[in-house]
Amino acid sequence: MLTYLSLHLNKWKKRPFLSLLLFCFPLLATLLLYPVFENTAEETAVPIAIVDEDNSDYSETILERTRGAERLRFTEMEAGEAEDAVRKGTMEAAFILEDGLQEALNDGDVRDVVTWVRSDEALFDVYAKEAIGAEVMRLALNAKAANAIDEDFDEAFAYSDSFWEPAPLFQMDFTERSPDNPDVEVPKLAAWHVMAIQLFFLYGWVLGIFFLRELIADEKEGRLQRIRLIQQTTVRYFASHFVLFCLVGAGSFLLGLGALFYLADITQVLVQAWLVRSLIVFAITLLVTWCLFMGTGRKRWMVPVLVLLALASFLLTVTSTGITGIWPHSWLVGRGGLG
Amino acid sequence: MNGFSLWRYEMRAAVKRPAPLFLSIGIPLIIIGLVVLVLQSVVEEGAEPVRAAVVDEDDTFQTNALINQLSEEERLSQALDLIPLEAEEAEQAFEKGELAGVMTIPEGFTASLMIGENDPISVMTNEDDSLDATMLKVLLESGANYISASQSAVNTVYDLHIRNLSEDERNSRLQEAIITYTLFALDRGDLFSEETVTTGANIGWEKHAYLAVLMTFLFLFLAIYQMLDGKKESGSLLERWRMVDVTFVHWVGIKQVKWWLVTFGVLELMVLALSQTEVLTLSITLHLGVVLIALWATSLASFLYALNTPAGLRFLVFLIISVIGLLSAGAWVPSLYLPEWLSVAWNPYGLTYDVFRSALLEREERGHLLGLALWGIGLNGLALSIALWKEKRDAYVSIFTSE
Amino acid sequence: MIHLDNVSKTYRSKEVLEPFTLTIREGSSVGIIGPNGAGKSTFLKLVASLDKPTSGKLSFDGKPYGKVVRRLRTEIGYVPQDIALYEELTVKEQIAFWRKLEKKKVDEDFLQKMIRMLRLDEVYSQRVDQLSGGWRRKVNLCVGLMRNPRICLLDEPTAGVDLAAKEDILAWLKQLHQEGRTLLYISHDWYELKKLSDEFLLFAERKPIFQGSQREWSEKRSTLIDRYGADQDLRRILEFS
Repeated sequence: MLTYLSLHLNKWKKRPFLSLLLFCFPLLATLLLYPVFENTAEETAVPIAIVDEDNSDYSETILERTRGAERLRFTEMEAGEAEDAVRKGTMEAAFILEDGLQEALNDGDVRDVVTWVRSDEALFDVYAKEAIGAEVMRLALNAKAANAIDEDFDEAFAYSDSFWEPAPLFQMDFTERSPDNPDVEVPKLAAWHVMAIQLFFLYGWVLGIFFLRELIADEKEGRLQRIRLIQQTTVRYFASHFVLFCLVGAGSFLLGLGALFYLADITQVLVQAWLVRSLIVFAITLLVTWCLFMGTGRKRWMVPVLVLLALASFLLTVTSTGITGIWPHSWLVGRGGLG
Repeated sequence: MNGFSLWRYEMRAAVKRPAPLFLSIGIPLIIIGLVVLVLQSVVEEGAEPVRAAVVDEDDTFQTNALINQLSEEERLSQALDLIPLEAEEAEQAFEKGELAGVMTIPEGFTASLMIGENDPISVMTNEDDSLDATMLKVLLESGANYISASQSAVNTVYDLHIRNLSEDERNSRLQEAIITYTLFALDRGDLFSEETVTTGANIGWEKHAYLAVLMTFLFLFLAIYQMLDGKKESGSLLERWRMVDVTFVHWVGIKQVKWWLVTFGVLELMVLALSQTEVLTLSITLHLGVVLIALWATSLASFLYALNTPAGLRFLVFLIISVIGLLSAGAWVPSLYLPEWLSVAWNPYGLTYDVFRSALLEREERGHLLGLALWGIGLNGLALSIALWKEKRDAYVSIFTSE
Repeated sequence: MIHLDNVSKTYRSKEVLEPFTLTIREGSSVGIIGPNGAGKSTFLKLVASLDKPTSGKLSFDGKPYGKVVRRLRTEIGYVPQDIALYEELTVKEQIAFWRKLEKKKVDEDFLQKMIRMLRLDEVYSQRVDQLSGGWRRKVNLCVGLMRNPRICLLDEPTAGVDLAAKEDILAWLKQLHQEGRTLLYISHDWYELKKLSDEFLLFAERKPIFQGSQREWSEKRSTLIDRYGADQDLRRILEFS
């Protein structure tokens, strides 16, 4: 068995650099692309121009507080400049804090204190509107409460504002649950992590399929016949090929998976759960693939057919089209604590 | 002349054995088709209001007002269908998968709110319906800020004024305060006076979608085609070609020309198909742009070919470069939203985007064509230089110096 | 005619030919023999201008290869050891295809004569991938020599062919030599070599160790056995001659 294992394994020496590169490709691609995607995803935001025409304490507070808004990139500008930017398409929208904003809020009149300049194609600026609106409303309600009582305005205003510290009064605690098991919260990977794992799975599978070509080559060149003549049996030859076929596919997949888990800092529980599940699914997938290949008589055309099957499994699963239940990719991301 | 014969052989082979070409067109079309189908269903689903249940275990005046705040605000009511249910009913509906989430206001919530404690309200979202669950989260979070603002005002008035009143008056004044501040917060739409400006610079989401499909198809097609078509001939056959003065330089040049023509043809077909849907108008500038896009993209492929990269690896390298290129060009997420460090003026993928963007906007901009031409000629020159260097290293180059 | 001056060849830091100097005379028929891995095919590729020496110079009619390679390639016919053909083409298409690529106009009489001698007309309309090994080798030879070259470089042109095909090939090569062409011919078969060659070139230990006529060979054979007899492969080649 060891002889056959080394026989199949030694084939990588024909083109060692290429073999190693193809085997480690998921790992290298993750190391290269993860930082790019992570930084891009973190810094992707809607660009919004904000204009302070009031130059008051309130307007400065609004600017200060909106600066840290998630997924929004506020840039302070002059009014004319901001409108131009919207027109040119370099800003999704502009918000002009109109002159007299502080006075109006103190008087309890909140109408039209902010001018919202948006382009006809704007889509995401409503989130900026919500963020600015919430800040203006916070000030307006503080002022309204302060006006409603006979105490010192500033003191009452500060008292009202103190309810925002250390956290706002009204908060929500979101938990994600599966309708199948709503009582337990199961740790879950981000959607794009799952997508990356599905890609690694596809790659490992296809790499394994290409490794099957070695069997075709051995038969074509007469090596298999020689083994059959000498050994009387080819069981060990095929068995060792199957072992390596699994190692090549699963090894490449695991390298990518490991790199992703390391870079994304995934919890131990999730890592273990995914590892066990994906290895079981991978083993079944490879066994089925191998049986299909052997069962159809190790034909040359079977290699592209299997590659297309793998591609179909990936595509039809990620797009949730087709008969999803039969594809290995759907078993990989199936329910039962991992999905 | 022999280079021409080889080219003719290559072109004839492309026609006689069209499987690589069909596969290279078919596979990207299937992939993109499936993605478009999914996006379409997401958009359709997004148009429906998100269904969520609210279970009010406290059932006080304040909690009722709070639910009103969430369900009656104009924008929220359009996007969110908040259904008051009993805990058991809500659980059953959630288990059946009918709800995107269940919001539960716990008993004693009002009391804690009034003393300024912030016991959070628990919201259970449906992990199997991530789009609706995310929408629900965004909508509720946006409403939460307004509720916090009105409740801060209520608490202030209560603590500094109402608390000192007689018990009879206290309750009515508190309810009055809650109504006043809740309604005030609900009027937040009045804060803004809206102005819409027409912008000629943005292509809009629909056209952007066309552009994303076109560019993704182009580079996916080329990644597959140059892999399937770029298998190297056997060493002895290459020697025979060398004996008739067809060197590695010719091979690189011929592959380049062949891929260029095929890519140009495929891209022109796509552009013509798009022009039928009146998304874009055909123009000389667009055709010129298509010529140059096909030139630079195939030059990248022939550059990798000149490096003697095996076909499978070339596919992967081409794919990785194109994924980064397309992402940074704003072909998927418009560059407006991307971080600035990702946008590079000389990015050829960005220049490719500009060609199609100008066509979609019906503008006759030609500035980016020069950049594309430079990329094409530069990469092509580099590919040929590498091939020449390899040929000189391995054998004699007869073109320039020999009798 | 062709002179190799202190030529050596190294592939990826492995020296496959040590520096040597030799001359090929016009009209000679040189049979090249030697153990596997001795550098025979590399030598032939160097002469064919398909490979470049790591050191040293090659010259053709007194001029360095770099200066005359275009002309040289029209005067040399090279037949590689492997079958260098497009398998999907028929024999007729194959010949027509490579014919079009020739720089000089192909002599129709010469080509027809070769086709007749090699009996290729019998398989003219068959695709190459449907032919047996012997026929493929004949087509391979025909394509390599169709330009009616002054110098014929042949790397084991009869390897794996049956006796009849071998006789066809040898007869044709003999005729080419008799018509005054220069032949450089690698083989492991002394029968072929003796039939075709007026000169032997023996490669061993990564360089040519003998060049001379059949008579000189007979004279020096025992000296060579004494000197290189430690190499079992070489010893057998020498003993079988």
